[in-house]
Amino acid sequence: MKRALMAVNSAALALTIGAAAQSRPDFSGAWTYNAALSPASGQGGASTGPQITWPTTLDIKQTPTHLEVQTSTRQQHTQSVAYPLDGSETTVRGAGDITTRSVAVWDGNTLVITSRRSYTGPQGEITLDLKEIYSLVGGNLRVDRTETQEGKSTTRNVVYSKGSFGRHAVAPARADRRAAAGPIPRLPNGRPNLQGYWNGDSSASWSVEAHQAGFGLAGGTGVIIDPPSGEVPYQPWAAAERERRRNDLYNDPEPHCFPSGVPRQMSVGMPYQILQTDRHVLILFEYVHARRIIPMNRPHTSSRVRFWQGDSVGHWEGDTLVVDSDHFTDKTWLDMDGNFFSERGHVVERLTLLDANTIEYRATIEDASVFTRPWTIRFLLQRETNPDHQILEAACHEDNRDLEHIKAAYEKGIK
Amino acid sequence: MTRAPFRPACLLVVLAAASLSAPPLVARQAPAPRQTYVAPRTADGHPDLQGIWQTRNTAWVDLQDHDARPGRPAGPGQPFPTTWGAPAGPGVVDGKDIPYQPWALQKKKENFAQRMTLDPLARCYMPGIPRATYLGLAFQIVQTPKYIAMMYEYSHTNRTIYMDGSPHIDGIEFWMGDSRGRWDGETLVVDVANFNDKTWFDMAGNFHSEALHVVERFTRTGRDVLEYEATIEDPKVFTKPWRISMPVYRVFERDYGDRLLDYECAELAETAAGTFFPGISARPQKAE
Repeated sequence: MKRALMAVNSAALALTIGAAAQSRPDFSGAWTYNAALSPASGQGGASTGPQITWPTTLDIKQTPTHLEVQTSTRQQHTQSVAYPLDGSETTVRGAGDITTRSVAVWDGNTLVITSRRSYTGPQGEITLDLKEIYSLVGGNLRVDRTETQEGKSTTRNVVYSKGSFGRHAVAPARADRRAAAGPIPRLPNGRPNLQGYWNGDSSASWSVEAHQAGFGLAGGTGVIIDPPSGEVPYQPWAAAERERRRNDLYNDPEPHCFPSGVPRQMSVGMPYQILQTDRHVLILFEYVHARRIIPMNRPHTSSRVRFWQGDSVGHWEGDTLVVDSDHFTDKTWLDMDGNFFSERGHVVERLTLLDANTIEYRATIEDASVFTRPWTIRFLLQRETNPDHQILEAACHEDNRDLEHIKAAYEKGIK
Repeated sequence: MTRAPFRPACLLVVLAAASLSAPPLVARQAPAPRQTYVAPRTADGHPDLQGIWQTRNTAWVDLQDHDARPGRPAGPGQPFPTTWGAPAGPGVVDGKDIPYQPWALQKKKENFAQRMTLDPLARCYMPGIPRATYLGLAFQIVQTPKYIAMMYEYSHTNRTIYMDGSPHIDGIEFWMGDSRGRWDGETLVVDVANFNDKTWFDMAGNFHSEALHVVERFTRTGRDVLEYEATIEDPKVFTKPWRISMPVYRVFERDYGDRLLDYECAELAETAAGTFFPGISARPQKAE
């Protein structure tokens, strides 16, 4: 997610088209990212190349003379560009001073779009080469994306299906998938089996509140279900502190490669693995190789030692795993939008399998010194269904250039 | 067998305190005695190695016999070597010598001379295997039938040991290597490959290439002791495989229970350097 500051903004995607002969495939339609059909990344955070990002929706209108592509991420930030089909290079200046130059050519039944994105910061020009191959496969739109930076490449194939999936791009699809995924899996002891690889809703780690997409940011409709306003119920002093933090992103712990804290760690944009034993639930994160070790049916530690991820203890309430976390530091943030609680914070999370491939995640956050009342977030965890998936290493310190970028953006006045 | 009684904000001080309060009492021993202890079993019938463990030796300073020596690595927040020295201790290498190729022995000496700045841990990088085992900070083992998680207090480093018979993943290098395990009676055998060439074995500059291959053996030799062995081979750096071994002890903490605590290396370094300002700055005098 942090690397996304460089490999950003899929919304700045640019398309041109060469000679659109009548025999060419027609990419027109409203396309939505289909996680179930998109092969899971075989690379992830440990790949040598940049981390791939992609839009959640593509609205394409193809005519004999133009290809219009409107991209959006989480249906918030949209960007629309119409390209004349004369084969010339197209230049787009997008959010955050990112310039994209693109050329598209037909190659048989595929359209190959070659783009170079550049961003000039105080430390010079940062460039990213992007090659996208569009093809129609079984009524779906497949986009093979290869991003190359500093001689290193990463490829990810993304499949889009027709139609809109609505809020969080999961709702209508879920019923179908639930039927296909079958009943929830259980352990021999009868408890729900949460084990496997999962992805949270990464828009929540940008902001738990509704937010527009921006430079390097995925937009989101917000994950707060209580209070109904969808806003964090701050006390006045804390609202001011939150505003201060929004303008102090350098001190967000995440770009420093520190653990994200709870519940933020559950929505980082990289997969994580849940393991269960009789005595523990473990959550092992690819992102900064963080972890949560949750003893079951134990009291909180009696010590005053504090924990970046809180001192978490778990128990079952019916088929719901309840995790109670206390003894936090005051160092973690709730998202990149300045939201926070103090070392007096207390978080109760509830994880419930809705079907074999979906966990409903809820977290109630209380801190009498920061908020006027407890508040609750909710999002879904989606299973990584690729049987070959495994957690790799996102060696954050070892390749951390984010701080440079944030500092550079800071000095340039970009917030 | 307890941890150091206080947890100051510095790895180096922690380690020094641990070693001062508990001088190394495990001299190199003859080959391990015949296994007589039979460990309790997990539900799937394998030895139960779970718990929080910690070494009590000075292998973190130098795998070989060493006198006390000045200085510890500088870090991003620690521009000068500290005044804390590194304690003396017996080596943990079978036969004392590490069988370097001539060029590699020269490089090791260069590493040693510049260890204050070249040690990857001075930048809070992941320690690699086997170094993570004997950093002197605790680590926790949790077992499931398909995976064994080893989670280290140092900089929230983890590794997953695949117990499902799967082969090493192809084409990706890891700081911590790619660990595939199997049971050999009472012993957990872990084959670790796919390393990068960036980690060291200790603070003395002992090093390897990306051709490193480590085979570890974890054997519970008592209720609260694991015997740890690692056979190290790297045809680009060494003339033959070599082996280290040491006991690892269970950690008891009355107040912490089975909690692995945080040693957030970079935070300590950044806080010392004044480049990170966490916490709440607008809190009113009386928050409540």
